[in-house]
Amino acid sequence: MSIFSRHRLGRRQSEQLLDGARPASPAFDDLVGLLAAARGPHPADAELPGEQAALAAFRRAVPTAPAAGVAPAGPHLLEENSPVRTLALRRLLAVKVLAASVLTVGLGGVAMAATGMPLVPGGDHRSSTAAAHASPTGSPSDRPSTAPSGPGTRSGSPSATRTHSAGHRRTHEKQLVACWAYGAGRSKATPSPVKAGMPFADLARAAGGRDRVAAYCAALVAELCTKADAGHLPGCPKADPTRRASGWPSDRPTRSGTKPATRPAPSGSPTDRPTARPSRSAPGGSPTQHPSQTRTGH
Amino acid sequence: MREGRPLTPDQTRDALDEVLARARAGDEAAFVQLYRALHPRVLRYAASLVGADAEDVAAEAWLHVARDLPAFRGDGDGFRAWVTTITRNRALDHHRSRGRRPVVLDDVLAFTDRPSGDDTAADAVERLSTARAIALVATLPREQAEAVMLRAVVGLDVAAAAQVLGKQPGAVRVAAHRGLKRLAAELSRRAEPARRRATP
Repeated sequence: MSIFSRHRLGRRQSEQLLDGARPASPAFDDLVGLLAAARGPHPADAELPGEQAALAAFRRAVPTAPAAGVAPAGPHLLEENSPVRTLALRRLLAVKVLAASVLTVGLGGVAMAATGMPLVPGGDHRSSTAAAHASPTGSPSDRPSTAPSGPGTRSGSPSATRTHSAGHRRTHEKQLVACWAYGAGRSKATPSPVKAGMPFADLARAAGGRDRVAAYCAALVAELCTKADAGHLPGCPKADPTRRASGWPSDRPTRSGTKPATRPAPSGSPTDRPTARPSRSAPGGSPTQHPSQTRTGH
Repeated sequence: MREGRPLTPDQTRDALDEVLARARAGDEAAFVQLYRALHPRVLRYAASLVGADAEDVAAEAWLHVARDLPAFRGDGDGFRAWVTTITRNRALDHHRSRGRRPVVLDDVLAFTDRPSGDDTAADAVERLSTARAIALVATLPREQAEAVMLRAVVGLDVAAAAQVLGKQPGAVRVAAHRGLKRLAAELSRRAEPARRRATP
């Protein structure tokens, strides 16, 4: 006979168990143990898998480390016409210029992948040299270093890019699609993960590790989307100079299908919809920190 | 990078609020604290939904969270619910694209939720028991499994869990209660042969 027929689990005991408390009756010890096991140990204060990728995305999203005068403004940062917000946008643009050259360094990693050598985005000295020549205008078409570090380039000359790149470029375009499918930013043109064309593991392998996928994708986007003929590529912005430096489009995917958990959060969370209508229309304000949505051409 | 104090998920509301405010203002150490506090639990929740693909789903969710954090408005509790909701949505997207498969123990075992390189024997045992527990919860009807995971593992209260699931709080209470009753019955059923052997 089950002990639970003698000590029935009532609503009150249920709530206690779910809150992590131990009901008075020992009859529920097994259940207490099960839930404690599912909960696992307390989080360790050490780096967790995926942390670096998340942090990289965070760095792309926040304008810069808080300076006095900006930090306390916190919630007001995004209010329309707020001077603080204007300041934040200016900072973002300044950071963008800096990031453009950083990304250029990252492109070296893409080039190395194409040449079959170990890929460490940003770890290639030759492309660091190339980045030194990068024009810090933030305008994609003005960056001379993107051509030498293009796919398939071994010699670093633009002509080499043209002669050797077709196959590599196809691979990279495929990876780019996978980046959109799995990555932080998805544009409306983004295929759903089922059409990603490659498993996440393959993308991670190309990137040199799961933790490097974000950096790798950022480099890929910067590489491919800044080419003159980038218009046909999925997800690339159409010659939008105010696009964020990372190149991740800020649009949400638009999908059909069921909509779980679509009720707006009381906390005003802007983007918690699975089917992701454009967040501009979401209650609680849209993430207006993306300059591409708000202003053009400072 | 400056490391902050470890932030346990059960820490006071004020502490989470404070760390969240700093992260939203661009403090990387604060963001790391948020990640370390919440990631293991949302990862387990994701594992109950998609098994070994939980890591991919959680990684995707965190990229989303990181991107939209500056625009997030709400307190620490709201943030926990927000992160959970995004994780859930990514998991459901995953289901739609790959087709839903039952989560089995092997699936769950494959996900890693420990610091990289942290692989002692004791840790392996711990991971195994966590995986077993999650796999068992995942055998429940999904509504019940999710209610149990959100309440007991992610640590959401009824209102927050209801918000994440898009249900009434009462429905979440009922689902979680039924889930626990089923789990209790299953544990009891499994313990029965052992008890019989112990007392012939």
